[in-house]
Amino acid sequence: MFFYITALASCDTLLFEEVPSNDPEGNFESLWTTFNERYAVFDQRGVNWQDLYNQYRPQVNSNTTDDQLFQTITSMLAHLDDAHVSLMAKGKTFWRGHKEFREQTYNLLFDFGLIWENYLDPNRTNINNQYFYGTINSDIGYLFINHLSGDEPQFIDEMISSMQDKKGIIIDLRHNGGGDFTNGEVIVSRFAGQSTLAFSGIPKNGPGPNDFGETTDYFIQAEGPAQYTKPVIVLTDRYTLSAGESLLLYFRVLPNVTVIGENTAGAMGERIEKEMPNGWVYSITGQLIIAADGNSYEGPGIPPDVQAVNTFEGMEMGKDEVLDLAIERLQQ
Amino acid sequence: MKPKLQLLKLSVLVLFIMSQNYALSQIDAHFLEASPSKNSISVLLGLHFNRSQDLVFSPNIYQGSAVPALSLVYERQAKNGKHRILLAYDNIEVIGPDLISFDLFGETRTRIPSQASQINIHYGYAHRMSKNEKLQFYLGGILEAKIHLTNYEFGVSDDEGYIFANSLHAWVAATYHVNEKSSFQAELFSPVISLVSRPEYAIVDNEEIQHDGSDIGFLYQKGELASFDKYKAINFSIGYTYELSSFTHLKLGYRLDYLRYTDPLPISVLKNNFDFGLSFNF
Repeated sequence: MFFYITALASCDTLLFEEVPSNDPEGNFESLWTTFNERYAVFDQRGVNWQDLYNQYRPQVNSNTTDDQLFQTITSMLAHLDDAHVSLMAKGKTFWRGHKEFREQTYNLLFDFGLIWENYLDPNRTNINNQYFYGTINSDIGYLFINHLSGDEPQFIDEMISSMQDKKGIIIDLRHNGGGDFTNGEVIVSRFAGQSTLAFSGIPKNGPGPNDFGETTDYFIQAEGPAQYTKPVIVLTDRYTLSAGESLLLYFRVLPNVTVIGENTAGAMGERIEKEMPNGWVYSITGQLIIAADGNSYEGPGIPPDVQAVNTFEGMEMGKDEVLDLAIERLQQ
Repeated sequence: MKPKLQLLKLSVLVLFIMSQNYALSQIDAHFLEASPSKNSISVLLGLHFNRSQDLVFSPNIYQGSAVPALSLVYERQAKNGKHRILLAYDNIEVIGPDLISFDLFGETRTRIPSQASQINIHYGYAHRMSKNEKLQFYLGGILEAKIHLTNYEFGVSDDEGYIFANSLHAWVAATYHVNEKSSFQAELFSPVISLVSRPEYAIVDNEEIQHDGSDIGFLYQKGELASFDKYKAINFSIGYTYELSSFTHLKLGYRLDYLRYTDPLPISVLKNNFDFGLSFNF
């Protein structure tokens, strides 16, 4: 018995699954297979993953260099155009799966510094460079949420209390980088009147293309000492991402909310990281999100009620035209 | 799985465990009347080696070692059996493949080692099966709660992989007394039935844990009943005890701890633990 057990203790093949070979082909196969079995939104992104295998697999052989492997894999992943897809490879720059996030063509159409300097009244609050709030023209509340990572947003009740007399509040989700969606739940719960379905999550739970798990519904629940139920305008842009989009899905079902801006990045399903045999790390989307209206906005992004986008000319003049539109609407 | 069915399964398990406990305590109470008990508390420090592979997160095997790992053991000897409560903890820095460096927002970032922690808490009763004073055999059961948690440091974010198992084990043990001062011990236990919790197939459930409430409550709620053919685990140990005084014993031991579970994807954890310490008898 003792001999048997000590033999067990040193025998990887008996005790562990076979590790894919750490060579170009093994690494490619490992990544492709993981996507094939666990990526949840091929249909929403209009991608036939098997076709991409047929196209890119022949480019990889035992002589493929790391640079070539990186190029082949990122070319394949680029077809998904998914902001939740990424690749971290040795000696390379963090590769992002969404074209706009790589090229940043419109990144400069939003500048919170401009709002801080040119729009917000002097008595304004900065919480850890994550949450910024204050008033505009003394009668409109403004909250910019940079991202939703980290601890629960404790400031929200104080902010809601201080803005009860304002005509309306602007929630700025432009360039929101995502984070923990439960922090968004806390924020929106101070704007909720009654329990309302916001969205549903359906996780991938098996290797087959139709293997999805049980649907989880996410509701807005009113919480906290006070709610704000006057008009609210939520601002979005093509950089509003992930948990920022989940927060938008919560807000957009409220009757007093208008969304102004652009379609969001369109990456709402939960992002999870995986590892290749060579230590490179990549991320996938493992969950399909369905909005309360029954649509999936994975890919095209969540559309606003009112399309509006800043111009480079306006930005140079120190004007945020989307914010101006929101202010104008609330003052009517 | 429907919550009612989960609750029913959990209830059956708890009732089974409780009835077993009660029966064992009644047996032991009978023997305690015949002979006064002898208690010991052992404090053990150790060098623990960890190898693990969780396909939910990575195809690679992560390994590392930790010193000192800590175990506390309380044993109560009766004339015809023994009770034991064990609490063991270790935290081990583990590495899979090479830790790569990459550029993120203009800065070079290097992946750091991941962390693997394990906590075991168990209560066991073993009944003495032989009358031989030199070589004693025991047969019994152990109730164990074990969590093996790996915090994968993937470079930009970290993901928590875990297996949380509450098991009823079959337990066999033997003690051989070389002389009045020295003895060897060997034991083996393996689960008969377990309640096992694991992460989801393709999403991280950290946020779900926050969403649904307390961590441990969530883990129990999502647990699945698993018989010995699905949750495979083996815990084998050998030890040596030397009596320094009637109050103090020196203890040395080796423990092999292996588990394997295949849902939603295979996880295997192998631990080789070398422990030493003192036991205090009263």
